Amino acid sequence: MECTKPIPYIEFANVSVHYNEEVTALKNVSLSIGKGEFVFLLGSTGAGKSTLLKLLTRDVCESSGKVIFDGQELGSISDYHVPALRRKMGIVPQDFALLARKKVWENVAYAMRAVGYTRKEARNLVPEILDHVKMGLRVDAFPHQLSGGEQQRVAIARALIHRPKLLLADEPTGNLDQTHSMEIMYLLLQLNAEGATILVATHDMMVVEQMREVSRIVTLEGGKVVSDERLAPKLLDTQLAFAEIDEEQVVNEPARPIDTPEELNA
Amino acid sequence: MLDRLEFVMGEAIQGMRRHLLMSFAAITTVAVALYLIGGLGYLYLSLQKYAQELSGRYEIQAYFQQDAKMDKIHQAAEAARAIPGVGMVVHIPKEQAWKKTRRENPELTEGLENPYPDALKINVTKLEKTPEIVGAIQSLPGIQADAVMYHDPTQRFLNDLMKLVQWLGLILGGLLFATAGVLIYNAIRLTIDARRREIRIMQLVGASHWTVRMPFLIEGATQGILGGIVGTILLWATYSTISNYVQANLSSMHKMQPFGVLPVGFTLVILGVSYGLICSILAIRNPARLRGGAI
Repeated sequence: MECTKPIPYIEFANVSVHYNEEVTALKNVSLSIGKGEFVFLLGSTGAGKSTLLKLLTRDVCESSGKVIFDGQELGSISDYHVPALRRKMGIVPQDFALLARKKVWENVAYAMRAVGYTRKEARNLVPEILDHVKMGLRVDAFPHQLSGGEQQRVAIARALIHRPKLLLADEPTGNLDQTHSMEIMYLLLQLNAEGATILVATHDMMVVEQMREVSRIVTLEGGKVVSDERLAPKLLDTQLAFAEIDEEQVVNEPARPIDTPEELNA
Repeated sequence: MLDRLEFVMGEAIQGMRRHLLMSFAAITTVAVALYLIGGLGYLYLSLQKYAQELSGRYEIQAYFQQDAKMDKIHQAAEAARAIPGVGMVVHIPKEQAWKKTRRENPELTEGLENPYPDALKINVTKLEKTPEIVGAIQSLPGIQADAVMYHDPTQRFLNDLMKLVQWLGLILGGLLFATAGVLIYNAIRLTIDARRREIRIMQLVGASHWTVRMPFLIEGATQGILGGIVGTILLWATYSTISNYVQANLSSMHKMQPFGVLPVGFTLVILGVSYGLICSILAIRNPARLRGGAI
Protein backbone atom coordinates (compact mmCIF):
# COMPACT_ATOMS: atom_id res chain seq x y z
CA MET A 1 0.00 0.00 0.00
CA GLU A 2 1.36 3.38 -0.96
CA CYS A 3 1.81 5.99 1.67
CA THR A 4 1.13 9.62 0.64
CA LYS A 5 3.83 12.00 1.76
CA PRO A 6 2.48 14.89 3.84
CA ILE A 7 2.77 18.29 2.19
CA PRO A 8 5.47 20.28 4.00
CA TYR A 9 4.53 23.60 5.58
CA ILE A 10 7.64 25.22 4.12
CA GLU A 11 9.61 23.88 1.21
CA PHE A 12 12.74 25.12 -0.47
CA ALA A 13 13.17 23.10 -3.67
CA ASN A 14 16.58 23.48 -5.38
CA VAL A 15 16.66 27.12 -4.46
CA SER A 16 19.52 29.33 -5.58
CA VAL A 17 19.86 33.03 -4.90
CA HIS A 18 22.37 35.20 -6.72
CA TYR A 19 22.56 38.78 -5.47
CA ASN A 20 24.74 39.62 -8.46
CA GLU A 21 27.12 37.84 -10.81
CA GLU A 22 29.77 37.48 -8.12
CA VAL A 23 27.70 36.97 -4.97
CA THR A 24 25.74 33.76 -4.62
CA ALA A 25 23.88 33.47 -1.33
CA LEU A 26 22.29 30.03 -1.81
CA LYS A 27 23.21 27.16 -4.10
CA ASN A 28 20.56 24.54 -4.87
CA VAL A 29 19.20 24.38 -1.35
CA SER A 30 16.45 21.84 -0.74
CA LEU A 31 14.78 21.80 2.63
CA SER A 32 11.36 20.80 3.92
CA ILE A 33 9.95 22.01 7.21
CA GLY A 34 6.81 20.64 8.74
CA LYS A 35 4.19 22.43 10.81
CA GLY A 36 5.17 22.86 14.45
CA GLU A 37 8.89 22.32 14.00
CA PHE A 38 11.53 24.32 15.84
CA VAL A 39 14.38 24.78 13.39
CA PHE A 40 17.72 26.41 13.88
CA LEU A 41 19.44 27.63 10.73
CA LEU A 42 23.01 27.54 11.88
CA GLY A 43 25.98 28.98 10.07
CA SER A 44 28.63 31.64 10.04
CA THR A 45 28.17 35.06 8.47
CA GLY A 46 27.43 34.71 4.76
CA ALA A 47 26.39 31.07 5.02
CA GLY A 48 22.93 31.87 3.64
CA LYS A 49 20.74 31.46 6.74
CA SER A 50 19.33 34.99 6.66
CA THR A 51 18.71 34.65 2.92
CA LEU A 52 16.52 31.61 3.65
CA LEU A 53 14.44 33.75 6.01
CA LYS A 54 14.35 36.63 3.53
CA LEU A 55 12.98 34.27 0.90
CA LEU A 56 10.07 33.52 3.22
CA THR A 57 9.41 37.20 3.93
CA ARG A 58 9.85 37.97 0.21
CA ASP A 59 12.62 40.45 0.91
CA VAL A 60 14.51 38.55 -1.79
CA CYS A 61 13.33 36.32 -4.61
CA GLU A 62 14.87 33.05 -5.64
CA SER A 63 16.99 33.11 -8.79
CA SER A 64 16.01 29.52 -9.47
CA GLY A 65 14.03 26.79 -7.74
CA LYS A 66 10.85 27.13 -5.74
CA VAL A 67 9.93 28.40 -2.30
CA ILE A 68 6.58 27.18 -1.02
CA PHE A 69 4.95 28.36 2.18
CA ASP A 70 1.57 27.07 3.33
CA GLY A 71 0.83 25.75 -0.16
CA GLN A 72 1.66 29.05 -1.85
CA GLU A 73 4.58 29.49 -4.21
CA LEU A 74 6.19 32.69 -3.01
CA GLY A 75 7.99 33.47 -6.26
CA SER A 76 4.65 33.91 -7.99
CA ILE A 77 3.18 36.50 -5.66
CA SER A 78 3.35 40.13 -6.65
CA ASP A 79 4.97 42.85 -4.54
CA TYR A 80 1.49 44.19 -3.87
CA HIS A 81 0.59 40.97 -2.03
CA VAL A 82 3.74 40.79 0.10
CA PRO A 83 2.07 42.59 3.05
CA ALA A 84 -0.67 39.93 3.09
CA LEU A 85 2.03 37.24 3.16
CA ARG A 86 3.77 38.94 6.07
CA ARG A 87 0.54 39.07 8.01
CA LYS A 88 0.67 35.27 8.06
CA MET A 89 3.98 35.27 9.93
CA GLY A 90 5.75 36.96 12.77
CA ILE A 91 9.15 38.48 12.10
CA VAL A 92 11.67 39.17 14.86
CA PRO A 93 14.65 41.21 13.70
CA GLN A 94 18.05 41.06 15.30
CA ASP A 95 18.15 44.73 16.30
CA PHE A 96 14.65 44.65 17.91
CA ALA A 97 13.55 47.65 15.77
CA LEU A 98 11.71 49.35 18.61
CA LEU A 99 10.59 52.97 18.54
CA ALA A 100 12.69 54.77 21.15
CA ARG A 101 10.12 57.47 21.88
CA LYS A 102 7.26 55.07 22.44
CA LYS A 103 6.59 53.01 25.53
CA VAL A 104 6.51 49.22 25.44
CA TRP A 105 2.74 49.04 24.97
CA GLU A 106 2.82 51.82 22.39
CA ASN A 107 5.41 49.93 20.36
CA VAL A 108 3.08 46.95 20.08
CA ALA A 109 -0.01 49.12 19.63
CA TYR A 110 1.71 51.07 16.83
CA ALA A 111 2.29 47.87 14.85
CA MET A 112 -1.34 46.85 15.43
CA ARG A 113 -2.68 50.21 14.27
CA ALA A 114 -0.45 49.99 11.18
CA VAL A 115 -2.09 46.74 10.11
CA GLY A 116 -5.62 47.95 10.64
CA TYR A 117 -6.57 47.26 14.25
CA THR A 118 -8.66 50.03 15.74
CA ARG A 119 -7.45 51.99 18.74
CA LYS A 120 -9.95 50.13 20.93
CA GLU A 121 -8.89 46.70 19.65
CA ALA A 122 -5.24 47.56 20.24
CA ARG A 123 -6.03 48.77 23.76
CA ASN A 124 -7.73 45.46 24.54
CA LEU A 125 -5.20 43.14 22.91
CA VAL A 126 -1.85 44.72 23.78
CA PRO A 127 -1.89 43.77 27.51
CA GLU A 128 -2.74 40.19 26.59
CA ILE A 129 0.14 39.96 24.10
CA LEU A 130 2.59 41.56 26.50
CA ASP A 131 1.52 39.17 29.27
CA HIS A 132 2.16 36.35 26.85
CA VAL A 133 5.83 37.33 26.53
CA LYS A 134 6.10 38.08 30.26
CA MET A 135 6.30 41.84 29.77
CA GLY A 136 3.01 42.63 31.44
CA LEU A 137 4.71 44.47 34.26
CA ARG A 138 6.85 46.71 32.04
CA VAL A 139 4.21 48.14 29.74
CA ASP A 140 5.01 51.77 30.58
CA ALA A 141 8.77 51.49 30.22
CA PHE A 142 10.63 53.05 27.32
CA PRO A 143 12.96 50.80 25.29
CA HIS A 144 16.08 52.43 26.75
CA GLN A 145 14.88 51.42 30.23
CA LEU A 146 14.77 47.74 29.27
CA SER A 147 17.46 45.07 29.18
CA GLY A 148 18.39 43.53 25.82
CA GLY A 149 16.34 40.45 26.64
CA GLU A 150 13.31 42.55 27.50
CA GLN A 151 13.65 44.54 24.31
CA GLN A 152 13.75 41.29 22.36
CA ARG A 153 10.58 40.17 24.18
CA VAL A 154 8.85 43.34 23.04
CA ALA A 155 10.01 42.64 19.47
CA ILE A 156 8.56 39.12 19.81
CA ALA A 157 5.33 40.54 21.23
CA ARG A 158 5.07 42.78 18.18
CA ALA A 159 5.59 39.74 15.95
CA LEU A 160 2.69 38.02 17.69
CA ILE A 161 0.03 40.59 16.84
CA HIS A 162 -1.33 38.39 14.04
CA ARG A 163 -1.17 35.24 16.21
CA PRO A 164 1.11 33.79 13.53
CA LYS A 165 1.60 30.11 12.84
CA LEU A 166 5.14 30.85 11.68
CA LEU A 167 7.70 32.87 13.59
CA LEU A 168 10.98 33.90 11.93
CA ALA A 169 13.79 35.19 14.08
CA ASP A 170 17.05 36.43 12.64
CA GLU A 171 19.85 36.23 15.19
CA PRO A 172 17.44 36.84 18.08
CA THR A 173 20.25 36.38 20.58
CA GLY A 174 22.86 38.26 18.58
CA ASN A 175 22.86 41.23 20.95
CA LEU A 176 22.24 39.32 24.17
CA ASP A 177 24.35 37.64 26.81
CA GLN A 178 23.98 33.96 27.58
CA THR A 179 21.36 34.41 30.30
CA HIS A 180 19.11 36.62 28.24
CA SER A 181 19.65 34.45 25.18
CA MET A 182 18.23 31.46 27.01
CA GLU A 183 15.28 33.51 28.25
CA ILE A 184 14.43 34.29 24.67
CA MET A 185 14.84 30.63 23.70
CA TYR A 186 12.44 29.56 26.46
CA LEU A 187 9.94 32.03 25.14
CA LEU A 188 10.31 30.78 21.57
CA LEU A 189 9.97 27.20 22.77
CA GLN A 190 6.82 28.11 24.64
CA LEU A 191 5.36 29.61 21.45
CA ASN A 192 6.46 26.48 19.60
CA ALA A 193 4.68 24.32 22.16
CA GLU A 194 1.54 26.38 21.53
CA GLY A 195 1.71 25.33 17.87
CA ALA A 196 3.83 27.91 16.09
CA THR A 197 6.53 26.82 13.66
CA ILE A 198 9.75 28.55 14.62
CA LEU A 199 12.72 29.28 12.35
CA VAL A 200 15.73 30.81 14.03
CA ALA A 201 18.78 31.93 12.06
CA THR A 202 21.79 32.04 14.33
CA HIS A 203 25.53 31.61 14.55
CA ASP A 204 25.38 31.23 18.35
CA MET A 205 26.70 27.70 18.87
CA MET A 206 26.27 27.92 22.65
CA VAL A 207 22.55 28.47 22.37
CA VAL A 208 22.13 25.81 19.70
CA GLU A 209 24.07 23.28 21.74
CA GLN A 210 21.80 23.86 24.71
CA MET A 211 18.73 23.49 22.53
CA ARG A 212 20.04 20.50 20.54
CA GLU A 213 17.66 18.03 22.13
CA VAL A 214 14.52 20.00 21.44
CA SER A 215 15.07 21.28 17.96
CA ARG A 216 16.13 20.54 14.44
CA ILE A 217 19.43 22.00 13.41
CA VAL A 218 20.09 22.81 9.76
CA THR A 219 23.68 23.84 9.21
CA LEU A 220 24.59 25.99 6.23
CA GLU A 221 27.97 26.71 4.79
CA GLY A 222 28.77 28.73 1.70
CA GLY A 223 25.11 28.80 0.65
CA LYS A 224 24.62 25.02 0.95
CA VAL A 225 22.98 22.80 3.53
CA VAL A 226 25.77 20.69 4.98
CA SER A 227 23.86 18.92 7.75
CA ASP A 228 20.32 18.49 8.94
CA GLU A 229 19.92 17.04 12.41
CA ARG A 230 16.34 16.00 13.08
CA LEU A 231 14.31 16.41 16.26
CA ALA A 232 14.82 14.20 19.25
CA PRO A 233 12.13 11.54 19.69
CA LYS A 234 10.88 12.95 22.99
CA LEU A 235 10.24 16.31 21.39
CA LEU A 236 6.69 16.82 22.49
CA ASP A 237 7.32 16.06 26.15
CA THR A 238 10.35 18.28 26.17
CA GLN A 239 8.55 21.16 24.53
CA LEU A 240 5.71 20.91 27.00
CA ALA A 241 8.22 20.93 29.83
CA PHE A 242 9.63 24.17 28.43
CA ALA A 243 6.17 25.62 28.16
CA GLU A 244 5.52 24.91 31.80
CA ILE A 245 8.62 26.63 33.06
CA ASP A 246 7.70 28.82 35.96
CA GLU A 247 6.90 32.30 34.76
CA GLU A 248 8.74 33.90 37.64
CA GLN A 249 11.88 32.00 36.84
CA VAL A 250 11.89 33.39 33.31
CA VAL A 251 11.29 36.95 34.35
CA ASN A 252 13.25 37.26 37.53
CA GLU A 253 15.95 34.62 37.52
CA PRO A 254 18.84 34.21 35.18
CA ALA A 255 18.19 31.36 32.80
CA ARG A 256 19.75 28.05 33.71
CA PRO A 257 21.71 26.22 31.05
CA ILE A 258 19.90 23.10 29.90
CA ASP A 259 21.85 19.91 29.99
CA THR A 260 19.53 17.11 28.95
CA PRO A 261 15.86 16.59 28.23
CA GLU A 262 15.74 14.30 31.23
CA GLU A 263 16.79 17.12 33.47
CA LEU A 264 14.00 19.19 32.06
CA ASN A 265 11.47 16.50 32.73
CA ALA A 266 12.73 15.86 36.24
CA MET B 1 -12.36 53.84 8.40
CA LEU B 2 -12.06 56.92 10.63
CA ASP B 3 -9.58 55.01 12.73
CA ARG B 4 -7.40 54.31 9.69
CA LEU B 5 -7.63 57.93 8.65
CA GLU B 6 -6.66 59.01 12.15
CA PHE B 7 -3.63 56.73 12.05
CA VAL B 8 -2.31 57.89 8.66
CA MET B 9 -3.06 61.54 9.48
CA GLY B 10 -1.18 61.13 12.75
CA GLU B 11 1.77 59.67 10.87
CA ALA B 12 1.72 62.56 8.39
CA ILE B 13 1.67 65.14 11.20
CA GLN B 14 4.53 63.34 12.94
CA GLY B 15 6.45 63.47 9.67
CA MET B 16 5.98 67.22 9.31
CA ARG B 17 6.88 67.84 12.96
CA ARG B 18 10.19 66.05 12.45
CA HIS B 19 11.38 68.84 10.12
CA LEU B 20 9.25 71.89 10.76
CA LEU B 21 11.65 74.28 9.07
CA MET B 22 11.65 72.39 5.78
CA SER B 23 7.85 72.11 5.87
CA PHE B 24 7.62 75.85 6.59
CA ALA B 25 9.93 76.62 3.65
CA ALA B 26 7.88 74.39 1.34
CA ILE B 27 4.56 75.93 2.44
CA THR B 28 5.76 79.54 2.10
CA THR B 29 7.30 78.93 -1.32
CA VAL B 30 4.09 77.30 -2.56
CA ALA B 31 2.19 80.29 -1.11
CA VAL B 32 4.41 82.87 -2.84
CA ALA B 33 4.30 80.96 -6.14
CA LEU B 34 0.50 80.72 -5.99
CA TYR B 35 0.27 84.38 -4.91
CA LEU B 36 2.29 85.41 -7.93
CA ILE B 37 0.44 83.15 -10.33
CA GLY B 38 -2.93 84.15 -8.85
CA GLY B 39 -2.06 87.87 -8.85
CA LEU B 40 -0.79 87.88 -12.40
CA GLY B 41 -3.72 85.71 -13.44
CA TYR B 42 -6.09 88.28 -11.95
CA LEU B 43 -4.23 91.08 -13.73
CA TYR B 44 -4.38 89.17 -17.02
CA LEU B 45 -8.12 88.54 -16.67
CA SER B 46 -8.70 92.21 -15.80
CA LEU B 47 -6.79 93.30 -18.88
CA GLN B 48 -8.67 90.82 -21.01
CA LYS B 49 -11.99 92.06 -19.65
CA TYR B 50 -10.92 95.65 -20.29
CA ALA B 51 -9.85 94.72 -23.80
CA GLN B 52 -13.21 93.04 -24.39
CA GLU B 53 -15.05 96.12 -23.16
CA LEU B 54 -12.86 98.22 -25.39
CA SER B 55 -13.45 95.99 -28.36
CA GLY B 56 -17.22 96.37 -27.91
CA ARG B 57 -16.69 99.98 -28.82
CA TYR B 58 -13.94 99.22 -31.23
CA GLU B 59 -14.48 99.29 -34.95
CA ILE B 60 -12.62 98.86 -38.16
CA GLN B 61 -13.67 101.01 -41.10
CA ALA B 62 -13.03 99.40 -44.49
CA TYR B 63 -13.60 101.46 -47.65
CA PHE B 64 -14.50 100.02 -51.04
CA GLN B 65 -13.19 101.21 -54.33
CA GLN B 66 -15.28 104.00 -55.85
CA ASP B 67 -16.91 101.85 -58.48
CA ALA B 68 -17.79 98.92 -56.19
CA LYS B 69 -21.06 97.21 -57.15
CA MET B 70 -23.73 96.32 -54.64
CA ASP B 71 -23.36 92.53 -55.10
CA LYS B 72 -19.58 92.81 -54.49
CA ILE B 73 -20.31 94.84 -51.35
CA HIS B 74 -22.71 92.16 -50.06
CA GLN B 75 -20.22 89.42 -50.83
CA ALA B 76 -17.44 91.26 -48.99
CA ALA B 77 -19.73 91.90 -46.00
CA GLU B 78 -20.59 88.20 -45.83
CA ALA B 79 -16.92 87.25 -46.08
CA ALA B 80 -16.03 89.75 -43.32
CA ARG B 81 -18.69 88.26 -41.02
CA ALA B 82 -17.08 84.85 -41.43
CA ILE B 83 -13.69 86.06 -40.16
CA PRO B 84 -13.02 84.77 -36.60
CA GLY B 85 -13.09 87.57 -34.05
CA VAL B 86 -15.48 89.69 -36.09
CA GLY B 87 -18.84 90.65 -34.59
CA MET B 88 -21.27 92.90 -36.34
CA VAL B 89 -20.63 94.05 -39.94
CA VAL B 90 -22.66 97.02 -41.20
CA HIS B 91 -22.70 98.43 -44.70
CA ILE B 92 -22.52 102.22 -44.78
CA PRO B 93 -23.63 103.46 -48.20
CA LYS B 94 -21.60 106.37 -49.53
CA GLU B 95 -24.75 108.58 -49.70
CA GLN B 96 -25.44 108.05 -46.03
CA ALA B 97 -21.85 108.87 -45.04
CA TRP B 98 -21.93 112.05 -47.16
CA LYS B 99 -25.30 113.07 -45.73
CA LYS B 100 -23.91 112.76 -42.21
CA THR B 101 -20.80 114.78 -43.04
CA ARG B 102 -22.88 117.49 -44.71
CA ARG B 103 -25.14 117.67 -41.70
CA GLU B 104 -22.18 117.98 -39.34
CA ASN B 105 -20.19 120.40 -41.51
CA PRO B 106 -22.58 122.22 -43.83
CA GLU B 107 -20.21 125.12 -44.72
CA LEU B 108 -17.23 122.96 -45.50
CA THR B 109 -19.14 120.62 -47.74
CA GLU B 110 -21.08 123.30 -49.64
CA GLY B 111 -20.84 122.73 -53.38
CA LEU B 112 -18.63 119.63 -53.17
CA GLU B 113 -19.19 116.26 -54.81
CA ASN B 114 -19.54 113.17 -52.55
CA PRO B 115 -15.95 111.91 -52.14
CA TYR B 116 -16.88 108.88 -50.06
CA PRO B 117 -16.86 105.33 -51.35
CA ASP B 118 -19.10 102.66 -49.82
CA ALA B 119 -17.76 101.35 -46.53
CA LEU B 120 -18.10 98.53 -43.99
CA LYS B 121 -18.19 99.19 -40.27
CA ILE B 122 -16.78 96.07 -38.57
CA ASN B 123 -17.00 95.37 -34.85
CA VAL B 124 -14.11 93.41 -33.35
CA THR B 125 -14.94 90.96 -30.57
CA LYS B 126 -11.40 89.69 -30.02
CA LEU B 127 -9.10 92.61 -29.80
CA GLU B 128 -5.96 90.53 -29.88
CA LYS B 129 -6.96 89.21 -33.31
CA THR B 130 -7.13 92.67 -34.86
CA PRO B 131 -3.99 92.32 -37.03
CA GLU B 132 -5.28 89.07 -38.56
CA ILE B 133 -8.75 90.56 -39.06
CA VAL B 134 -7.30 93.64 -40.75
CA GLY B 135 -5.19 91.47 -43.02
CA ALA B 136 -8.19 89.37 -43.99
CA ILE B 137 -10.32 92.44 -44.71
CA GLN B 138 -7.60 94.03 -46.79
CA SER B 139 -7.63 90.99 -49.05
CA LEU B 140 -11.40 91.07 -49.59
CA PRO B 141 -12.41 91.82 -53.20
CA GLY B 142 -13.36 95.43 -53.82
CA ILE B 143 -11.77 96.74 -50.60
CA GLN B 144 -9.03 99.35 -50.87
CA ALA B 145 -6.13 97.71 -49.02
CA ASP B 146 -4.79 101.07 -47.84
CA ALA B 147 -8.18 102.27 -46.68
CA VAL B 148 -8.79 99.93 -43.75
CA MET B 149 -8.76 102.16 -40.66
CA TYR B 150 -8.37 101.05 -37.09
CA HIS B 151 -6.97 102.37 -33.87
CA ASP B 152 -3.75 100.40 -33.75
CA PRO B 153 -1.63 101.84 -30.87
CA THR B 154 -4.16 101.18 -28.03
CA GLN B 155 -4.78 97.68 -29.19
CA ARG B 156 -1.08 96.96 -29.64
CA PHE B 157 -0.27 98.32 -26.17
CA LEU B 158 -2.95 96.17 -24.55
CA ASN B 159 -1.73 93.14 -26.46
CA ASP B 160 1.85 93.74 -25.40
CA LEU B 161 0.81 94.25 -21.78
CA MET B 162 -1.16 91.02 -21.77
CA LYS B 163 1.79 89.16 -23.28
CA LEU B 164 4.10 90.63 -20.65
CA VAL B 165 1.79 89.55 -17.84
CA GLN B 166 1.51 86.11 -19.41
CA TRP B 167 5.30 85.73 -19.64
CA LEU B 168 5.88 87.09 -16.17
CA GLY B 169 3.36 84.61 -14.83
CA LEU B 170 4.95 81.77 -16.72
CA ILE B 171 8.56 82.59 -15.86
CA LEU B 172 8.35 83.91 -12.29
CA GLY B 173 5.44 81.71 -11.26
CA GLY B 174 7.02 78.73 -12.98
CA LEU B 175 10.39 79.27 -11.31
CA LEU B 176 8.83 79.65 -7.89
CA PHE B 177 6.57 76.69 -8.49
CA ALA B 178 9.59 74.58 -9.47
CA THR B 179 11.41 75.71 -6.31
CA ALA B 180 8.35 74.85 -4.25
CA GLY B 181 8.28 71.43 -5.90
CA VAL B 182 11.90 70.76 -5.00
CA LEU B 183 11.21 71.83 -1.41
CA ILE B 184 8.15 69.58 -1.06
CA TYR B 185 10.09 66.72 -2.65
CA ASN B 186 13.00 67.22 -0.25
CA ALA B 187 10.68 67.54 2.74
CA ILE B 188 9.11 64.19 1.88
CA ARG B 189 12.52 62.59 1.36
CA LEU B 190 13.64 63.91 4.75
CA THR B 191 10.51 62.48 6.34
CA ILE B 192 11.24 59.12 4.73
CA ASP B 193 14.75 59.18 6.21
CA ALA B 194 13.52 60.35 9.60
CA ARG B 195 10.83 57.69 9.74
CA ARG B 196 12.79 54.79 8.29
CA ARG B 197 12.31 52.75 11.46
CA GLU B 198 8.54 53.26 11.46
CA ILE B 199 8.45 52.26 7.78
CA ARG B 200 10.48 49.15 8.58
CA ILE B 201 8.16 48.17 11.42
CA MET B 202 5.12 48.68 9.21
CA GLN B 203 6.67 46.49 6.52
CA LEU B 204 7.72 43.83 9.04
CA VAL B 205 4.19 43.43 10.36
CA GLY B 206 2.61 43.54 6.91
CA ALA B 207 1.05 47.00 6.74
CA SER B 208 -0.47 47.59 3.31
CA HIS B 209 1.31 49.59 0.61
CA TRP B 210 -1.16 52.41 1.08
CA THR B 211 -0.72 52.56 4.84
CA VAL B 212 3.01 52.97 4.32
CA ARG B 213 2.67 55.55 1.53
CA MET B 214 -0.42 57.51 2.49
CA PRO B 215 1.23 59.62 5.24
CA PHE B 216 3.74 60.97 2.70
CA LEU B 217 0.99 61.79 0.21
CA ILE B 218 -0.99 63.52 2.97
CA GLU B 219 2.11 65.46 3.95
CA GLY B 220 2.64 66.73 0.39
CA ALA B 221 -1.04 67.52 -0.06
CA THR B 222 -1.16 69.36 3.30
CA GLN B 223 1.80 71.51 2.33
CA GLY B 224 0.02 72.30 -0.95
CA ILE B 225 -3.28 73.13 0.81
CA LEU B 226 -1.60 75.36 3.38
CA GLY B 227 0.38 77.07 0.59
CA GLY B 228 -2.88 77.65 -1.31
CA ILE B 229 -4.61 79.13 1.76
CA VAL B 230 -1.69 81.42 2.63
CA GLY B 231 -1.39 82.46 -1.04
CA THR B 232 -5.12 83.33 -1.13
CA ILE B 233 -4.84 85.39 2.07
CA LEU B 234 -1.84 87.29 0.66
CA LEU B 235 -3.65 87.88 -2.61
CA TRP B 236 -6.83 89.05 -0.91
CA ALA B 237 -4.86 91.39 1.35
CA THR B 238 -3.05 92.87 -1.65
CA TYR B 239 -6.29 93.27 -3.59
CA SER B 240 -8.04 94.93 -0.63
CA THR B 241 -5.19 97.41 -0.17
CA ILE B 242 -5.04 98.34 -3.85
CA SER B 243 -8.82 98.41 -4.16
CA ASN B 244 -9.14 100.77 -1.18
CA TYR B 245 -6.47 103.03 -2.67
CA VAL B 246 -8.17 103.07 -6.08
CA GLN B 247 -11.56 103.82 -4.54
CA ALA B 248 -10.16 106.63 -2.44
CA ASN B 249 -8.01 108.26 -5.11
CA LEU B 250 -8.75 107.05 -8.60
CA SER B 251 -12.37 105.92 -8.54
CA SER B 252 -13.32 108.27 -11.35
CA MET B 253 -10.63 106.87 -13.62
CA HIS B 254 -11.02 103.14 -13.38
CA LYS B 255 -13.14 100.57 -11.62
CA MET B 256 -11.31 97.41 -10.51
CA GLN B 257 -12.53 93.97 -11.49
CA PRO B 258 -14.25 92.21 -8.57
CA PHE B 259 -12.14 89.65 -6.68
CA GLY B 260 -14.01 86.53 -5.56
CA VAL B 261 -12.14 85.21 -2.53
CA LEU B 262 -13.91 81.84 -2.61
CA PRO B 263 -13.40 80.93 -6.28
CA VAL B 264 -9.82 82.26 -6.26
CA GLY B 265 -9.06 80.51 -2.97
CA PHE B 266 -10.63 77.29 -4.22
CA THR B 267 -8.60 77.41 -7.43
CA LEU B 268 -5.32 78.10 -5.60
CA VAL B 269 -5.96 75.37 -3.02
CA ILE B 270 -6.78 72.86 -5.76
CA LEU B 271 -3.61 73.90 -7.60
CA GLY B 272 -1.60 73.62 -4.39
CA VAL B 273 -2.99 70.25 -3.35
CA SER B 274 -2.50 68.78 -6.82
CA TYR B 275 1.04 70.03 -6.97
CA GLY B 276 1.81 68.79 -3.44
CA LEU B 277 0.46 65.37 -4.37
CA ILE B 278 2.46 65.21 -7.59
CA CYS B 279 5.68 66.13 -5.74
CA SER B 280 5.07 63.58 -3.00
CA ILE B 281 4.23 60.86 -5.55
CA LEU B 282 7.54 61.64 -7.27
CA ALA B 283 9.35 61.43 -3.93
CA ILE B 284 7.95 57.97 -3.08
CA ARG B 285 7.62 56.52 -6.57
CA ASN B 286 10.71 54.37 -6.19
CA PRO B 287 9.89 51.41 -3.89
CA ALA B 288 13.58 51.08 -2.97
CA ARG B 289 13.39 54.47 -1.25
CA LEU B 290 10.67 53.17 1.03
CA ARG B 291 12.58 50.09 2.01
CA GLY B 292 12.88 50.25 5.77
CA GLY B 293 15.35 47.38 5.74
CA ALA B 294 15.04 43.61 5.70
CA ILE B 295 14.73 41.49 8.83
